[in-house]
Amino acid sequence: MSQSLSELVKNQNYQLGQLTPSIVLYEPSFEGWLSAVFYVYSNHLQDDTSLQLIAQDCYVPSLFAHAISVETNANHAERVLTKLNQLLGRSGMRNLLWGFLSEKDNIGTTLFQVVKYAINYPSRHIMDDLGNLNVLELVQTVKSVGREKHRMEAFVRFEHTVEDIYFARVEPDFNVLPLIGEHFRQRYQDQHWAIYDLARGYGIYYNKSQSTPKRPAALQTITEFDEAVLRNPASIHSEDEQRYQRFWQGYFTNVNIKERKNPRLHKQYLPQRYWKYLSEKQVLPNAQHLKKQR
Amino acid sequence: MATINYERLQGKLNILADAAKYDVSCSSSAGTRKNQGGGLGDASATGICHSYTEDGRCVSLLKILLTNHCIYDCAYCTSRKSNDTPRAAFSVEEVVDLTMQFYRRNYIEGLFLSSGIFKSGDYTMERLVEVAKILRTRERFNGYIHLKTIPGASKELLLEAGLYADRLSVNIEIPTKSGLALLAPEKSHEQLKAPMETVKEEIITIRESRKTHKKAPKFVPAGQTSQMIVGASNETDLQVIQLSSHFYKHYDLKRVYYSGYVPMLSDSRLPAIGTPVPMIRENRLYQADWLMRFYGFGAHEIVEPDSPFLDLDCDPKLAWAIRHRDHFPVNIQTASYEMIVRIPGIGTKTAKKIVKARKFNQLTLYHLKKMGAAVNRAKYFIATTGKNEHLAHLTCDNFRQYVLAQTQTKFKDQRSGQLALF
Ligand code: SF4
Repeated sequence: MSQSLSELVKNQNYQLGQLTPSIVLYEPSFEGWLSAVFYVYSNHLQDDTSLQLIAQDCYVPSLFAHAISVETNANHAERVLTKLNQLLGRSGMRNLLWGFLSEKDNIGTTLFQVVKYAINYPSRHIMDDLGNLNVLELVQTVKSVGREKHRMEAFVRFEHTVEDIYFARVEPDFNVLPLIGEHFRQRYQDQHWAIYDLARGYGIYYNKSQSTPKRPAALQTITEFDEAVLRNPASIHSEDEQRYQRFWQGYFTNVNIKERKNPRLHKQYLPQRYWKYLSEKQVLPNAQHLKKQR
Repeated sequence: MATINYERLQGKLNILADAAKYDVSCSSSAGTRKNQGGGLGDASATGICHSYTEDGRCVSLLKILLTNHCIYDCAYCTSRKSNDTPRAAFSVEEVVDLTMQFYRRNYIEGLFLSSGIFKSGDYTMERLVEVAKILRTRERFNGYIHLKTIPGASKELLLEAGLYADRLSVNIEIPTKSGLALLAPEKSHEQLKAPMETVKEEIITIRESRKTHKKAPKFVPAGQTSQMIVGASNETDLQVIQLSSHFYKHYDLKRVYYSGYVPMLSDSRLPAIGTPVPMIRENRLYQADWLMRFYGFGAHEIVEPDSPFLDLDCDPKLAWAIRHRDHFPVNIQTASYEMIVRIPGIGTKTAKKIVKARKFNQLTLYHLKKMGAAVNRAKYFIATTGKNEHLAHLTCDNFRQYVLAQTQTKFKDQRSGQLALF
């Protein structure tokens, strides 16, 4: 039932090759994936049950599969987006985008199956149908991404630099920077700040001088960052930074109730993989500045 | 601006954080303060735990005492006059500075400020209000502020505090009048409830005037809360839960917090040092509290007068279900939402998913599991389309022992901490 997409493919003349590709590769961006969806429908490949949509950088070539690369096309992407917006609404689109940012190997295909379901049953609230395994997979993925987003909003630790920028390093499991920017932009309107994802090699930057009294500045993407500084940000700390890190460490240590110590629970809530960038975890347990002295 | 002595500040912070740590009423949820542009902070989000202590509790606010000097001598409190402990006091500017600097680094959602009583209730309360006022007006801070009201502080100060704070709280301390009289002879329930009444009345007044004047000032937008210590005197759970229910009904309280008493002082009126902290009991009380606030349970259903303590072996919802087996099995395909949330192992979120998803499919235990239900418990109480062989046990004489034996190991270790609920 690809009728509802037929207007999308009007006036398009697509050349079908001899071999029907069962793997469609897209450039690793949401637009890239949308372009691939457009390609699938334009070429009537949607009913091929073995069809897979895979990000180019995740694809391992194999002898038996026929793969075709689809280039990102802003116009095609836009048209699919408009259609999906109509079908799925804001919250459905949010699910697709969040699912996409999980960067899971099979996510391109899962998302496609969900989209296909929506197109085939335009009057259903398909996102509520958790009995459908693709919908379920997506909803669970979105949940994990949401958890990671929330953790990043919590565990980002800004360090004040000599240039008066509050700078944080993160290494999230999923690509959540695009999802957390707004939270920090609302919150930190009166300071310069940046959050850099070391795993993915890019960051977001807020330049407060570009804000107006009514409106916070737009976020900028930053890509090049000095490796040495990323490894050792203490080299750019302002005069105050060490002091407040020590205050925070003293605070963190002294609010603990020894009688209720529970390392298992502690690690469950504060998974060890995040500790590397948490200032309160960068201290020896008996350091002088943690003591209660006057 | 007064100067800050940074050399001494570290020691003070360590002392006054330690002294505040037994106060648990400090979640930052339900803030409604938006950054109006250009300022620092935004408390409109739901609470964020920025870290977790080694005992597994959420760190969301800078929770400190302004001072641990106190003219009172409450038996259960480390700040009490007769206790030999290092004393310290912050200046107003020091608290403002720490709050701003911690917030800027994303360590905290805001400030929870309480205090021992130095000189008098008013003298102390005035300083707490001053901190909040400077943060809001001079520093343009929009993060979360929770102030503890000081017993004996005047009505005017309470009302001023409510203009700057997101939340105010009055600790009821000990759940029974007799217990409070024994452990804190200078306090009484009547005296502690008076500020609650003041705050409640002001909330209602302002709420009314906001209906007609949109610009009317906000007054404690996140409401008021209270806390009680359990296990320091010999109160029953029935008394605790009835008191909470009374607070929810008559004082419009957002939350009541329960703090399992940690024995740290030797006093013949108190449990001896080394007595274990009643953590399971505390956890059960939180679960019972949730049942009242989100699951439609009445206090009388949760603990019954003939056995006035909560069952420590199983959560109160499971305990209720075992006591009322005649209400089960529940047919998830047709039952009302209200009844579905009463099934052990099914929380409000899962119940909502069930109600949506059942329009599309005949749901099985497998679906429920995927939706997040704790099927190991739920399966004894549910009728699904297929045959559910676990239902055979529902009518057995030893049902309680059977269910507990089958389900206990899974959640046994999660009984501590405020967050491990259901
Ligand atoms: S009045 Fe408060 S600070 Fe003072 S001893 Fe009693 S509980 Fe402690």
